[in-house]
Amino acid sequence: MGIITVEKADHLFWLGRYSERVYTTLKLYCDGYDSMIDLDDQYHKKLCELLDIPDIYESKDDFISRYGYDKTDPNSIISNLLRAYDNAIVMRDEIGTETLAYIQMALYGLEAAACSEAPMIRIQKVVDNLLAFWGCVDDQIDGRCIRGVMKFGKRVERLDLYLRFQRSPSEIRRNYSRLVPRAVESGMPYNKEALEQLKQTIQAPVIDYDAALTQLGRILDV
Amino acid sequence: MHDICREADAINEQLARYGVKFGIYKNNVFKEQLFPFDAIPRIIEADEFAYLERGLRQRVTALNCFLADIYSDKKIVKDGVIPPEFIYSSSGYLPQCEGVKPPKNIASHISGIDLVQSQDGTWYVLEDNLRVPSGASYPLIARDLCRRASPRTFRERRIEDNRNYAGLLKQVMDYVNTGGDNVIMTPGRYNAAFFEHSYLAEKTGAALVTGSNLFVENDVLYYLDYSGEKRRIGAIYRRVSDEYLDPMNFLPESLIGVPHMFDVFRKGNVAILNAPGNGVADDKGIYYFVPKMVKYYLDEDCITRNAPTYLPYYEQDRRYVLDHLGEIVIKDVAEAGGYGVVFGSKLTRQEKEDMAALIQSEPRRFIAQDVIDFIDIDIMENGERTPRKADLRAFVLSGEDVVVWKSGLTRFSRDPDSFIVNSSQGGGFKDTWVLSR
Amino acid sequence: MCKTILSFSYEMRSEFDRDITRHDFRLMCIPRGSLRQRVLRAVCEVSPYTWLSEDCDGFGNPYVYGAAGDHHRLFHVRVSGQVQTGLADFEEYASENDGLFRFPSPMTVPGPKITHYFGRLRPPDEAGTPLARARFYMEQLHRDFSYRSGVTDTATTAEQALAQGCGVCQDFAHLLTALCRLDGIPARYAAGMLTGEGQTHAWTEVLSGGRWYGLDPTHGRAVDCNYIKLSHGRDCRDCLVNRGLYCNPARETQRIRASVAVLPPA
Repeated sequence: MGIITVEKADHLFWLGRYSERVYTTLKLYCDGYDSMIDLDDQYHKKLCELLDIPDIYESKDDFISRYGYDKTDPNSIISNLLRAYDNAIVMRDEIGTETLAYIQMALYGLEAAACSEAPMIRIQKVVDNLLAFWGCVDDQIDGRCIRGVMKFGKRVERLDLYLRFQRSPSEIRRNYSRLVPRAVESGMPYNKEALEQLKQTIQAPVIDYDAALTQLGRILDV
Repeated sequence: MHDICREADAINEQLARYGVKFGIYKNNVFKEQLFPFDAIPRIIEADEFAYLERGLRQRVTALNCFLADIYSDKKIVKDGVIPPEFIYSSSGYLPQCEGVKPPKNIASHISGIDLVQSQDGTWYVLEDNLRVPSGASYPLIARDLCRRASPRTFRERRIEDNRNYAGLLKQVMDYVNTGGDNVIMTPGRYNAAFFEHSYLAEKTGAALVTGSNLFVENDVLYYLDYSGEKRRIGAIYRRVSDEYLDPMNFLPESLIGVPHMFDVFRKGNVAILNAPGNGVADDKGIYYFVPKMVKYYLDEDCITRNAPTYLPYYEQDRRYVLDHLGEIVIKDVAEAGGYGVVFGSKLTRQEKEDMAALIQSEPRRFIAQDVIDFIDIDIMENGERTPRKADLRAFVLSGEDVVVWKSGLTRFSRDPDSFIVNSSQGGGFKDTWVLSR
Repeated sequence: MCKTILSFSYEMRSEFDRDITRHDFRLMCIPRGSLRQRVLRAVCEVSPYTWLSEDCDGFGNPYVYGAAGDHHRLFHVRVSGQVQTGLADFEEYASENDGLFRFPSPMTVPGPKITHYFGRLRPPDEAGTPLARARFYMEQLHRDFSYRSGVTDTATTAEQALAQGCGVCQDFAHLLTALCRLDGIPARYAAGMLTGEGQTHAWTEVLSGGRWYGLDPTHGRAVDCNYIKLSHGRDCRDCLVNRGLYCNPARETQRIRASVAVLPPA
């Protein structure tokens, strides 16, 4: 294969982005959940700030349930997973039924966690399925550009989140260097200039995170 | 077989894993539903299937002859075998197709023939589906899972492997292909059968496309890949109905169609599977004439049997229908998908009178059939075997040869009192085993 | 019937208030030859376009189609030429596909209004030829239905038009077609042009004695050498003179001018 339309490239890119968003925010959510058990009642406020989402939650319990599983909250983890699913379901013919199944199972897993008394223990299944999804992508998808586009999306999202979280310069640089080859491999047209500017920004002794985010946001503007 | 039933939950879990779903609209909201699978298979003995195979090949061959004839010479009408109003008043008849010869002169490539078996074992054809029959993907994927769940069953019994469906489909596409890629065109994610479209694309290696990916230039149909390169299409297995196919030639308001696609077809530059205009042959009114078609085109006696059918159009039949309204089933020829089917026995006196008046004023609109008491097949419900009505959709693929797929979609009704086994009305499905000896 | 040479032109100008792209079009405005009329010359100019092609549809109507892919705000079509008419007062019955024209089509399905109206009509000679009966229906219709523009559109059915009591040539033609079919006379819708008119025209053709005769219920007369035929079909939907589709939402202003003039004998 390897013949895909523009529309399909778009779905693959966003499939990569959303599944990465779910994966990384799930880890953050679980850490936060742990703190909120008995350590820090206000922790969810910090999380909202970190995630750069409006704090619409009434309490920590409200945050735990709605940010995790409320399909009507556009910023919730499940909404992001549903977006990943929406982009995946239309790509069955390219990524394969076997690979698609892991996104499907991640969704079942998150839905099961939502109705559970102990969601954290069940979230493990979601994380496992997301990791298996990427393993399956590597193992089963022959088309280099198909894989490339998805991973390009994944890497853009990872760097975007890490910049928002203001992770350490070394982590940012490492993730930047993982992004660059994916951009090339994807075969998608991308903004080389923006990528070059981003490189300058993150190599400065003190990283201007906002500037870096803006530059990253322009990566597909061509 | 006991193994399989024991593993039914595991199989259904696997079906959920692979997203074996169909979509339905409830109060205008799209919902995906798992298609419930029952592990007890329908079993068809080798000699029985050999009979069905002969009959179905003959039937589909005749139907293809009919389609070729209707859009050219219309000999069958001129010779008085079929009254002209059954052709021209049919909503499936498309004058746009007059004089258009599809590649290799095949109009119905994928035919879904719905059959039931009566209590005495006789098979009856209930309906021919020659437009976009769906459902083959379900038994296809279910078989894979059943073999995983119960290898012993498949070692001990000689069951024809049905997993060649995608291969057969690809052969047909390749045979009629006019030069270019094979593609499968879906109306989109929110179509009831989207799972099937995407699954068959994966398994046949055809590109899955929507109307917005396609365009016509200089009488050639193309799609654009993401690097901006045009790819020529030689065969398009479209899962979009005729009216919506091409807004320049059919319904102008269609948003999912491809302008000029039909013109490309008219010029012979692309194969459309199934060809536009097939609706004239699977009309409920035309169904009555299929055995006559077999005789007319092939000079053979029709092997498959129609359910005893009456056309109120003919006076003698009309009298019979009016006299036996309480015992028969009346079908509105314009409706599909299990709708427009009325069982006379369930009508009140007033409803019967209204129906009789309607039949008298619009005799062409209805057909009537004797109610066939068809065989029940057991399903597992709450751990118990319970009988349910079930039908069989057989798939016949017409390419270089006419091939009957050695399996089929067995659908059952979940409602014990219902005779209607359509998946859009909430039934389940079974695997269909054809024994090889 | 006298042989006449008509010079004709059909012009369509579409202006858009913003740039449009991927503009697909289909034009059925080229005269078709028959025993009644011979096309001496026909030139079709379209601008802009990226590709153009032509064919004949299932009714044998010639059409031109294609696409204009690049940005544009003006779309212009001009078909012009000369047609010799009056070669006969009928058209040949060639397709042997009259069944198609014997039964109601989507736009001409008779409802209670038409059925009732038809029931009141009594042709003076019930055993007369189909043409004579059709002529009678035409005259009645011409008398009972009045011409008024702007009250119906291309989606108006014959039944709806009759309920209103007035309409344009398309509605007249639909109604006559419906009445003839009710009487068992094969009838079809014809689209074309008429001398001295600014728009395209429509009338009805009926099959009688193995020949198709044109009857114009709008003017209450038989089709003569002043008519140029473009297409025929079951109803107006089969004879749409132009179809177009484009990508961007834009407001379209369309101007159509059909003109036909008698050419003085050389």
